[in-house]
Amino acid sequence: MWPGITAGIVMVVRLGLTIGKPLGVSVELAQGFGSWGWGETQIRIWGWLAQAVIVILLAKKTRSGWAAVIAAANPWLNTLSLWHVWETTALAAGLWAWTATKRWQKAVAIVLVILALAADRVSLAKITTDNLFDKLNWGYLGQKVDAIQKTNFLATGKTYILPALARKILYNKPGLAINTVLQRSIALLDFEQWTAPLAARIITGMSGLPPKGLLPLIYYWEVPVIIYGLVKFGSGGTKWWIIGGWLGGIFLDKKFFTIGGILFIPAIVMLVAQAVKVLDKRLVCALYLVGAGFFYREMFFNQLKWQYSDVYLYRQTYLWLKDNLDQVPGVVVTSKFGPMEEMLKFYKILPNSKIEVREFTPVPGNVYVGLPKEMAGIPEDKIIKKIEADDELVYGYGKGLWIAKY
Amino acid sequence: MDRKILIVILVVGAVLRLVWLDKSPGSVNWDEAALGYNAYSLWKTGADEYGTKWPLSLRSFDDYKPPLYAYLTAPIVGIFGLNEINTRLLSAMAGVASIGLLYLISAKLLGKRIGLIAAGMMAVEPWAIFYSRGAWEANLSLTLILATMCLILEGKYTLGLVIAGINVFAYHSAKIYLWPFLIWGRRSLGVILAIVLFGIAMSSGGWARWTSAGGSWREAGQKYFSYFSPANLFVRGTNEPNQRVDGFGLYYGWEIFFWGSGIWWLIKNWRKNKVLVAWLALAPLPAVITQSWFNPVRVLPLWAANTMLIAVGWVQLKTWLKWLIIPWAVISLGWFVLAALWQMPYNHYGDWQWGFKEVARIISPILDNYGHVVWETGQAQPYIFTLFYLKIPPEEYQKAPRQGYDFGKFEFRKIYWPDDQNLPNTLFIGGVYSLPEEATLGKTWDPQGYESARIQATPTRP
Repeated sequence: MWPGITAGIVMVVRLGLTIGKPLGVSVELAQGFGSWGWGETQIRIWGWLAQAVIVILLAKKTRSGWAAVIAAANPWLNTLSLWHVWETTALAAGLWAWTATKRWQKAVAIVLVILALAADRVSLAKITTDNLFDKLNWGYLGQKVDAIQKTNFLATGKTYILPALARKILYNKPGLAINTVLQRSIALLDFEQWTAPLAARIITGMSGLPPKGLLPLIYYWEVPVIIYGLVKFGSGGTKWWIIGGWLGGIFLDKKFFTIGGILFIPAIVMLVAQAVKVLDKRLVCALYLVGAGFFYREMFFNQLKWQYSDVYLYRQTYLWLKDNLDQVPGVVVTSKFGPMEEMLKFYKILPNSKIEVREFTPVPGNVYVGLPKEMAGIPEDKIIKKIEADDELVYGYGKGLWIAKY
Repeated sequence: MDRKILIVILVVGAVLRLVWLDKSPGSVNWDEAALGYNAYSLWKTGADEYGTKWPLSLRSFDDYKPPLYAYLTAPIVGIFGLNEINTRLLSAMAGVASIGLLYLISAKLLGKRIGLIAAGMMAVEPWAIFYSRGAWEANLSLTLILATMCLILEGKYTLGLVIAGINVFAYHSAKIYLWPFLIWGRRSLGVILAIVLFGIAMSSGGWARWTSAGGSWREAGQKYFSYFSPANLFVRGTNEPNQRVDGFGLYYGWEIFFWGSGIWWLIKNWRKNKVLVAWLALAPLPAVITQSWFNPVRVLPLWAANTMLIAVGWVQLKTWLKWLIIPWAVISLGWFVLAALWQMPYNHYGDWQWGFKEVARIISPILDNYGHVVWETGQAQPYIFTLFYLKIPPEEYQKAPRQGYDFGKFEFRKIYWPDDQNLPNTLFIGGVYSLPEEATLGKTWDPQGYESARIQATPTRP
């Protein structure tokens, strides 16, 4: 009963925050759902429903209310269901296929997985580039072999080169290929990326992770719990999820691990659910409630701290236009960063004859929404609003977005 | 037979730690230079660079270094000369001793076979080789910690704890590692002696460093687990520029199979191996209270414990898997040796404050001809490299007038040649954009072949 109530509280709070504190929508989500005519709230509720299905299916499969708590409060699953809705849908359908007892249910679930992935054309496009096959390309490996040998030769002041046999044994393409697969596999087990991708940026940056855009995947105190669960109870039913997560994780670049390693999620939830049974249930409930509280605070109230500013600025532009368009003859909105026009269409403020989306040099008599540097020449008293944001989206153009009635 | 194998392991370990000790890392960094010069100063004058007699901490760059490394290095640099090899020799020798000590500890805790495997692993592992090839106080401290453990496991509590107490003069982390040892050997006279030594260390500069650690308690939990993160241990290593060998973490990638197997075994058998469990659990503590995210040098005992785990894992894994991994391990060792000995000095010379030795070689014979030396360098603490590579007599330096980094006739600042060329009888060392090419007294080239410094001089009367 305790776990069920805790999971319910977490899910209801999440739904309330989703509706009451809208986050804005990423370009990927807008492109993926915009053509269907879906708006922000519909997307987010769909994501929440997909997470709810996952929570229920995992609880049902494990016959443990703890699985529901862990899945409901899991940062990775929350991030996915807010920002990668199709992937969450595919995971929910996949879990349904796994838990279903009737053959027709499995078939329907598999069709749903395929449809969700097919609908996720934006993310799928990433798979065609920057993946493991690129790094295992024979030509690429050959270049690496040559580069290492060249460095070795130069490092001796061009005075010595290793014997041919030694070079062949030490530096060869199959060897580098094996090393690449091994290193990418180990690199998945990156506790900094899993628990503190922003705070540990100085370390995660060495693996090519971006300074923003990533949230924790698990709570740091879950690290020993997962290891304990794995050792104490074995991989059990989680084996294929772990293998799937590993394959997806090493296939995509590390910065896409949030979606590449998605199949790890059920394994993590089930392993933790097993392991926490030995702990005091009040402690576990408190840990997850507090953990979810901190996580939601970051997600919903400190969005600019972890997310690039563009998502926020698209939404702020939309909100300002919605509230003020009636009072102005026309507005020029910058197209200097990102697909502004596409995003305003998603927010259904475009098409509108009063709005132009383009790069501009301000001339008197117009209303402008643009980056600070684009407002050069406009007197300070004509700037009617400055939307503060953390990132300089275009180098040298300043942070945030300004609105001017020139 | 075991003894013969151990001797072979020690010889291999010694070779990997001693070969080309002056060439890789490519030059001493400022901490090494400070330790080397203070050791030289102690030998010559019985005082550190500031003239403090028999100091219990080295003021150095106001970071109050524990003095033990300098004291033990003093006879080496005093008798054999002040240079990179002699400054690093103590660390290298401590690294070899650590191999033997880890054998003794592992043999005592886990059996002789695992002891030999652990020693063999430590002899060739990247972390153990790397930290033995620089004048790292932490590496000396590791040896003393292993010696403490060895003695305590042998029942020699008093001697063990005295060594643990002495260790607080070797490295800051030892001030934290001391306390578990005190609890372990609580019925011994050594506890009192160790606490006295700790008190002396803390009252003579140690406290200043302690309070400046500056870590965030909120992040301490996350940082703690970063010291167990396989990505850090086996692939990525640290972001600290002078603790990196490109392409390598602290261990070889293939060791993860044994490490994982070792952890598995330890969790299953933790009740019988409480010493190893406590060692692993407590070892990250000195690092998590500081600002850095993953700074391996602060927790070398943790890496030694992991090496033991890897040795345990070796025994646990199936034979066919071992035979599959051994050729890969040999190739990895080859990669690491070449990366550390050739590639690192070539690619990352800048991380080791390269360039002073090369200049010193040129100006040393002509230095007496000039009354003023202006040295333009982007490096912090340039004076210590000047002292180290020019072997400035400590008794002269201690008496010389100082202002900031400047001392005696040495001035460290930017050069503006249109004005500076009018200074009489001055030797200039500067970059290619600061000094004209004509009539240079010498030039230096970095390991990649780019001109890095020019040496110019002005006559007595311009």
